[in-house]
Amino acid sequence: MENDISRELIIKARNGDMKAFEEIYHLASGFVYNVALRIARRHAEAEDITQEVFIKMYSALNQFSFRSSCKTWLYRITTNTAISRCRKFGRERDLAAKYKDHLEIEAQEGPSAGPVEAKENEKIIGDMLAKLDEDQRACMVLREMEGLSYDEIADILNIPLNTVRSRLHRARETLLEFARKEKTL
Amino acid sequence: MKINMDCKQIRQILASDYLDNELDPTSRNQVDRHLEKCPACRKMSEHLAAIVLPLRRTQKQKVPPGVWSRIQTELRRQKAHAARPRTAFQTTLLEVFLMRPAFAAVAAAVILILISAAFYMQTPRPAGAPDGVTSAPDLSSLTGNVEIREQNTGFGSGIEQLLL
Repeated sequence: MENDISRELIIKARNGDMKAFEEIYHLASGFVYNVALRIARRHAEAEDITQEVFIKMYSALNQFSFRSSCKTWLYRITTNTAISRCRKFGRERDLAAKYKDHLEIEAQEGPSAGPVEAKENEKIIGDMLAKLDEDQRACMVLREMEGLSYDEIADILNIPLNTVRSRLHRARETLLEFARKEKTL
Repeated sequence: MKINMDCKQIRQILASDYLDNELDPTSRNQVDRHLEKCPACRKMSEHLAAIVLPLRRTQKQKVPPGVWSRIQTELRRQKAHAARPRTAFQTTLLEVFLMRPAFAAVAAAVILILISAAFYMQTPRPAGAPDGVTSAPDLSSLTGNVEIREQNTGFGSGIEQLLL
């Protein structure tokens, strides 16, 4: 995996060096936050997930055995945390409509405020991701937004390669169906 | 991934390996040749490419500035909590309940049984009645019911009398 966090930095953080851990945070928090945001679909929730991920990581540094890359490990903690929080606090299908309103407000006022085109794109993405279940969403986020390979996704989510394939296939079929209904195709 | 060519399979591949460039060059050429001949599959391929475009051009969001300080505060709180001295009794309890969950479960069951037994011993019972024996009025009402049932359900008794 590209731009991985160095072994030296992890060992320093493991030995209690908070500066090293802060450096890890600055290297990794961007992708942790963005994956969390796209799976959980709310900025406040993504902040909580990011916090939870780094606290879990800090507590588990001693158990990290360097068998996988640190980035893979962090992606795994992030997706697991985000998916389980979605299931715990979710009732997602029922909240889909509420979320749509919420996202519109965030697109105007939240951290994503920017050019009109970007806001419009954010709204489209929100609507699309709301149509998928959290497992499909995690696969799509890792593939489309993080650009990871099928092997990497299978490793992170701890699922067979064919499951990655079928989740992506089903997610895209759902999105096609949604686009046809919305007449955006 | 090796593939056989028919529209149903092609469409599955279009929505996964083909769109994601995960096919080997030979298989990709096969799909491309199918797309040249099949307008329906070609249309689907175009739609799939269009549908993932907004996701692929997503702008990365910046992490809000307060997150790192929240993490630091939480880690400090956890460290302070872990560093707090414990009494010998607390340490023993922690060892038992965290390190040996099976033993903890058995201990909890024993405590529960002892509490139930104490409660049972304190429950008032009728004077003179030994433990485990039901009182006389209850027994008589039970036998009374049996007699009534025997009177009402004497099927066959008349026929038996005739035959005998």
